[in-house]
Amino acid sequence: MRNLSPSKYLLLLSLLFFAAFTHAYNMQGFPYFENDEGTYMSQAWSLLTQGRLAPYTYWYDHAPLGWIIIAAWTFITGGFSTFGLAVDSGRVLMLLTHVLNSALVFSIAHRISANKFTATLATTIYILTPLGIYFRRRVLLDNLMLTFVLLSIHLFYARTQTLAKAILASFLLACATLTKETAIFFSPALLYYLTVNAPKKQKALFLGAPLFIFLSTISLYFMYAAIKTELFPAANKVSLLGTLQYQASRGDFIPFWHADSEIFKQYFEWIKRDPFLIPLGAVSVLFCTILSSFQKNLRLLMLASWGITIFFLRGGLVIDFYIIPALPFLCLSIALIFQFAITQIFKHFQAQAHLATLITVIALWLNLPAPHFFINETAPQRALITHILNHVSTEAVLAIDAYALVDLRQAGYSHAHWFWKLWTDPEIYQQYTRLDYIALTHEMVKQMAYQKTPNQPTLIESAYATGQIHFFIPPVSQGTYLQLAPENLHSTNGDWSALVTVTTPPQLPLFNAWQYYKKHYLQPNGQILDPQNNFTTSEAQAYALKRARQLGDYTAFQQIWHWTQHHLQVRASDKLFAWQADTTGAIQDYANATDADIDIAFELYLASQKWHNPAYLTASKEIINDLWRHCVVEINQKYYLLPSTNSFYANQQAYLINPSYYDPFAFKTFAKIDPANPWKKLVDNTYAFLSSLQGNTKQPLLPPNWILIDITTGQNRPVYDIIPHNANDYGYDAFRIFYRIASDYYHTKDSRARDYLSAHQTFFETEVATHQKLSAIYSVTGRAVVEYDSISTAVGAWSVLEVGNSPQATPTYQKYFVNTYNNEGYFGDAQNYYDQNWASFATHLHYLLATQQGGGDHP
Amino acid sequence: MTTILETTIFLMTVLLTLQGLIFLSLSLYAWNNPQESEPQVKPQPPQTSFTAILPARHEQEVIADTIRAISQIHYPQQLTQTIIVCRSDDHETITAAQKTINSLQRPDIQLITFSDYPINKPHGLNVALQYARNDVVVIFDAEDEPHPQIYQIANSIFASQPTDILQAGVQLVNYQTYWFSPLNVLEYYFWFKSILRVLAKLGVIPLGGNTVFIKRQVLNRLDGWNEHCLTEDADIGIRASILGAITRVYYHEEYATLEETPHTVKDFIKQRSRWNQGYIQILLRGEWLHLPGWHRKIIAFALLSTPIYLAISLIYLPIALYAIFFLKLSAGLTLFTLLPTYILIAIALLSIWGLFNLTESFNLRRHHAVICTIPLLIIPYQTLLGYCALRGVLRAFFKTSTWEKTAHANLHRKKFTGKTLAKEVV
Repeated sequence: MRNLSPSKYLLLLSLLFFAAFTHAYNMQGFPYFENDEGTYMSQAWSLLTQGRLAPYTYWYDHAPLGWIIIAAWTFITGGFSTFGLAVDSGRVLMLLTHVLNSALVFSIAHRISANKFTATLATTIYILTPLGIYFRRRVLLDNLMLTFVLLSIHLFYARTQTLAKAILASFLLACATLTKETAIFFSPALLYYLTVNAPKKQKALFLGAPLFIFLSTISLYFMYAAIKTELFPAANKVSLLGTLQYQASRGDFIPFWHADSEIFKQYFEWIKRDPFLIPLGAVSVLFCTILSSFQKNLRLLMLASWGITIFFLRGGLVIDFYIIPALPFLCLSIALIFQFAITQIFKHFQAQAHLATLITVIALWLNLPAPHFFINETAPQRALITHILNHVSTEAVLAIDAYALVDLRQAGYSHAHWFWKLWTDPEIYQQYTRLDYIALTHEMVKQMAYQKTPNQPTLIESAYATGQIHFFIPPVSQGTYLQLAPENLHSTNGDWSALVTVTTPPQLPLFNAWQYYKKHYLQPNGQILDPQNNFTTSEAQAYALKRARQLGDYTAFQQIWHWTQHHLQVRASDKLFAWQADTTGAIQDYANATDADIDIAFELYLASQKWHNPAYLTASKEIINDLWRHCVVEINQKYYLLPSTNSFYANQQAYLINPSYYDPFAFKTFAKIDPANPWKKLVDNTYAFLSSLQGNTKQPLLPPNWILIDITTGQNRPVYDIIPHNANDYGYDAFRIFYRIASDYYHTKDSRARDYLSAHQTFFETEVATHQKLSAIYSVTGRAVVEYDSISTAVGAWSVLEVGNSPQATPTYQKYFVNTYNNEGYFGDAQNYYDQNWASFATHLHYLLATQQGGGDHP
Repeated sequence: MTTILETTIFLMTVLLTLQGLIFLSLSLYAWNNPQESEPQVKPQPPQTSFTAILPARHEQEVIADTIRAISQIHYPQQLTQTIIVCRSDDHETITAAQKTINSLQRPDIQLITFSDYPINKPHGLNVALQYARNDVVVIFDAEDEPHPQIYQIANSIFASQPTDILQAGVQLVNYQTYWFSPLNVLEYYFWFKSILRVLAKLGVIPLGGNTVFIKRQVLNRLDGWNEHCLTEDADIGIRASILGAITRVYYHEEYATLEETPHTVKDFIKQRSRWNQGYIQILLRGEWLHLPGWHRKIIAFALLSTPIYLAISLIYLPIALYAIFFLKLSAGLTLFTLLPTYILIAIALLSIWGLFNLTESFNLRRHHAVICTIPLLIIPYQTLLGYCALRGVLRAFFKTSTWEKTAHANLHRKKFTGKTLAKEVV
């Protein structure tokens, strides 16, 4: 630029003022804060305050020079709040970057063409394109990378070439690559430049020294990874090469000429913002390439243009803002072609042609929609931060969009985390047992939808579905819409925000345990297979429905129900479920298991309410109806629940009963759905029946796993011969009674429930206090039958202790459901299907009881 | 303790990196500015008169050849004067010199002896200066082989542009003789061809010990050489810079004065220790503080304190190794400490390239085996330099100021110069 005359300087200064104005006007309001902007600001903040490259594990997503520069910028300007929010600070840096880039475009054009018209035209288009304004305002690494690239190319076109300039140009391109890896696609231009400019006698030095600088600068990134032993991929570890491999593999790799290819899709997004630049630029690049065969000084520019073009056409991932480094080259090519055409066609009226072209171009581009000047898309995002600062405790666990991290952390919200870290990174989500708020934005919805897999509900699905919107800021723009139904997660633009108060689970371990369970137990078709004996039960299907419903996993619920309905609801005479099937789904035993039938009916009802699906209600009603018809009997005006439709034992003249199948809260619910049958009376009879099992001893007897009821007198008596093991003891069946009664208490505060549980409290307290553990099986009189304990049967004792507010409740919970939890997402023995489910139910009930939100969600 | 160590490592890395970068950029200056480094000297008719001073002590082996070489410089005799200066007790050298002078029958060559103290080169130079009668005084060492056209070149420069001092090129050439030779040779190559040129441009230049042309009136204004300094050449360069003398550097492979490397490590250490000690003497005397402008003071300080940070680097080496292997430094700091390694690699590559260039420029036979060993020699050579610096600094500290003279064996003549040199051409 030293060679510019004063008039050209004046011209350049005017253009730069124009560039600054078009960029700065409303730059804090448009476009909305994008996720990546927050990410880089967060990483710069981490660098300055934590001395680390990222607030979370740095996984080599990008080389760090970009946010090192941002960190330096915020350091120099007095912190992250100097210009408003942290992202605002970054945007001011982008303004400076843009002004510098515009100056470089001008100077490069001038160096190539030695013509002020070409330089002015290229710079004007560069400044005016709405496509550029949209992306250049954002705090993106590509913008910083482009500055290095343009500085380097500016040196390529220096009038006098020296070794120092060649070294500096190489160093700058290396810096560009360390800012954003895609800059490596400009390296062919560098090689060409070095080869062409090297003096004949000193080729080795003029090629070797710049290349050494280029490679050694880039190698620092690899050295850093090597020092941290994170260069090569290894299990459970981030690695540079692993990430590079991953980044290179992103995208669908559909050939670029195919309508579904990444570049094709993005092309249509880009031309929505600027219909002229890319078509005109692409044609110009082609023409310039032809021209370069006899105009040597165009070759370098064309190599750079083709470098970035090849990047686009490679078939891999193309994100919308990847267009940033291509913009100057498109503008330069257009200007050069115009200049060429004018000199060829209007030889004698060049000045007039120049003026006409400039006026046309300005008119054309100024005529394009200019939301960037008028719409304040960031207002909702700012309001969301303000709302959190004013209304949310600093102790709250918040899932947030990256743009808010720095501002919230600086305000003391140390438990505010990038949502995807809380969603996917065990290192983060394992720190927490609860999630209080989701500060929801477009970017979060977009990411969730993007990364959604059929078997994995997003955090937002499970939490949002059970949470409530506490605060909502409507979209600024017309036409923006938001759909948060789990099956259709979609947001059109980032000009809205919301704060979701998570009033019910997911607690994160619960959420993770469900993910683990799905991965290891749930088949893709919806069947649950017990890995220990390789068969499926209606009980397992019921339990899975319950967990899917608890965690808002609609996709899984649908799958599981679909399989259950089609494979187990196959009995000829009723809508109840065959209790056992093999791996292929073939029925092994057509007998039903009433507890599973009750659970399924109950879950279908709850799901119908939760997801507004009337088909589930219909299915639930059919089951409930058949349950009453086939599984409830009346003896001496009392109703009894049979464990199966065929539980009459003629030789004993008695019904076999499993007390743990009784579920008073489900019965109360059924009473509403099925008013034709006296379910309420069954509730009364349930409590009476359970009380009768306590006997008349000072210490109430524990309920047995199984019992016989005389068909004429209704008297109960022990079971012999029918059930082989521990039928008359309290164990793997009977513990469920206490859980079910606790659930009833949680919901209805039924005093009978509390009384029943408190009758057994002393026994369990004594057991825990004396032995520091619970036996898996007790005789009904309270003698430990086995020495070992069990996670699942501990649920019964813990339910009693928890409802009774016993001091032993917490240690028991800790011992059986916290200490046994493995961070991978399972409890105790990962192969034990029963423990996985019951520990999960206990964890869920614990949360409900602890927060005492009775009447809200269902256990 | 760890913090202190980390800070030390950080600061040392900064120092070593800066030093390395400065060294590399100064070394490449000549190639980055080829128009400056190879100035076209327009030949001028002889008009400048020269007095060559040849101080010699125990140089009976080489003195005759040197006197002959000087006598063969093509220049009108009436404009030349050659003074061989010896101490009166050095009978062998005196005899050899006198014998040569007699055989040459040249009235412009004279032998002068002195018997006072101190017995060192600057004193000899000062004695000879009293007998000098010409415009420009030039110093040659006893083993030098000045180019026959060197006076013509110097005359052209003095006559065509304002010049007070001219430092002509001096080059060691026996790069394959000893293990340290290639790097020692390259030091001279980059020093005279490139680094001195930058320093001259910046106005702070420690002159070389020979083939340096100084106007007699400048010498008189400076009161001659400092007899108590072990590097009288650097000293007079700094003092001339304070005076604002215009110094030029002319290095052209064809006209460079050829010399030899020390021929044992012991000699190398003695020579280099003496230079380092001399630099420290100049530094401590503080005259450089009178240089005009802050930038010159900073450059002088950086230059003269080179032995100190070379010595510190040697002490730092085991600390760095300890830290690398036994301390868990942060990844960022560890990466940062690697920067000097990058610079060492760059120096190795530069040295290989430099040796290719040097052998081509001087028409020397290219010993690829020697060139290939350069990467292996860098660290031993740097360690040797560090040791010499440490020794020099300690000697300066303990004020040990005996002159450790370097022996000369005419290796550069026997193998590389004159007609023999032609046989070495590839």
